Amino acid sequence: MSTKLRAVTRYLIKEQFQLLGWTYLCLFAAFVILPFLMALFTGNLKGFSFISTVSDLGLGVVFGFFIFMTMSLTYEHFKLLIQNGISRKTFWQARILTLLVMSVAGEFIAALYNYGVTAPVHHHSASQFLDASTYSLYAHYFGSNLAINLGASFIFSCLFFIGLGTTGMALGSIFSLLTKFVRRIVIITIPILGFFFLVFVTSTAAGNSHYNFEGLANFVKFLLGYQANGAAGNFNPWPPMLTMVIGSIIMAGIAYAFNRKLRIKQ
Amino acid sequence: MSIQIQAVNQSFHGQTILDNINLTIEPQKIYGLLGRNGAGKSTLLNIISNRIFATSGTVTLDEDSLVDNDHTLGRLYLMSEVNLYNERTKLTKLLDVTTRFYGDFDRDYATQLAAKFELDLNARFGKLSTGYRTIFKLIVALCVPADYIFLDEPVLGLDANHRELFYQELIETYSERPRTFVISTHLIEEIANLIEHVFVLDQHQITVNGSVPDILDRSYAITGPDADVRQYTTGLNIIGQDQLGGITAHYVYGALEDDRPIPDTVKIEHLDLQKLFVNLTNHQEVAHVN
Repeated sequence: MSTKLRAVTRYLIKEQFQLLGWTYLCLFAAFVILPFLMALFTGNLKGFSFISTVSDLGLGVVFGFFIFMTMSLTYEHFKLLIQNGISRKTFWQARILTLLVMSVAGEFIAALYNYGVTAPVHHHSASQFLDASTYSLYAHYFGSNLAINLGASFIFSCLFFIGLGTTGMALGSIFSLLTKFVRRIVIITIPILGFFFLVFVTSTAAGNSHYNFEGLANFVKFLLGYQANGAAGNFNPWPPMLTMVIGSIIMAGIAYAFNRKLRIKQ
Repeated sequence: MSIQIQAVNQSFHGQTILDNINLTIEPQKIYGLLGRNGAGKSTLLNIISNRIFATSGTVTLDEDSLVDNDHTLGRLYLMSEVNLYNERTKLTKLLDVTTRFYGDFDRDYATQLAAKFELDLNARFGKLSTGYRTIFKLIVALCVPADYIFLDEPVLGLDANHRELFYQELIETYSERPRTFVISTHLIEEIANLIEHVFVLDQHQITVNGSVPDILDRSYAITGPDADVRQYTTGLNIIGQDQLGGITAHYVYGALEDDRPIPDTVKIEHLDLQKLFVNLTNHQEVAHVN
């Protein structure tokens, strides 16, 4: 690793940790302190449970949003780095390394919180918590060894965060190249198109469409690791993990291609 | 050992910004990059520092490309008119960032300069006035350990005292650690005594490229009665003229003909850099640049 790459990676990681700290602090203020104050001022303190509130913060979900948003911030970093003689390539490499480190760290914090705070507060064992988590579809695929299942869940979540991060990077890099006008049009158009797409999907799912989506449905089932004879919990996690790895590589490639075209706006 | 700019063209929406620019920027020299508004000076500096891409052509430093190359990009610094620093960040932190990425940043000198310019390093960049933003960027430019420093409008928003202080510091730091400075400014008179070599960018092309003494040696103001001046300058490269009453001044760029008799009524003087620049780039007059 070159000196510059190391310097940029350290800088980005440090900045990400600071931002993550602030994010969790804001989360705590908004979902713990604010409800506490509301309860205090409305005289409803009996109905407020500090422990219960603290245990339901959903750090994993918040981290997912965090990694997507921060990885999409491209131009702000680019202009600072190019001002300091750092190439686009080094910037991209440093962001990938930062994403890997942050995904592992973010999932580690979320896992500590889930199994150290949320599960005990709700009187759940680790195994019970895993069965209720986003990994529940695959929670028993590797047998009954809890450590292996927890490890697989950890890797699964890390890959998911890496996928979110690389998607954020790709979108951020593309957006950085657009003019303000085009960016506004895209921001307005995408939700509208998304709404129509949702209506279309709902209509199709309700059987009101003459299109046959059986092939697509089977493909999605394959990607999710659906087992025809297996119940939820015994789905195969390898196809989704492989999909996330391939998807991340594609997104990182898109981010790289657009990253190389970054330029200072006059 | 130099920056080579070869056949650089830049166009935007079909409009030419730079047209076949060829330049060599040598080490340890102070250059002036002069041009009227919209001539393409900032665009050229942005291309050199790889902030934007040229439509065609190459820019190399010691034969290594400057495009996406940490090694070469780390040897130059562009202080630009555009603010690339985060507005919410404190100046001390921005100095830390520069130190982190450039290496041997002269922090002591930066602190001294901040004191001389009365700049509070604990302030946030976004809270500074235009002048103090310029001062901060100048401090970074003077303290950064790069071999090639490009200053785009380095005195933008500075009062006369601060401009004077900047020029003094520039001379001092250059004497202590010679490196290349390329200064792009409209205040030509103020830098005329600083620069050794000048590039004039006019109508998207380099029209003058030479050492300041050589260029001034080739530029003349020929004044006297209208008829005598006209007679003497016939056939010379007249780049501009002024008239006041019966007195005419013709500005000539290029060698005078030695065998041409000079009328007693005609006075010949050398132009200063600003007068030369104004006449070279004033297209109401027909200027021919050799």
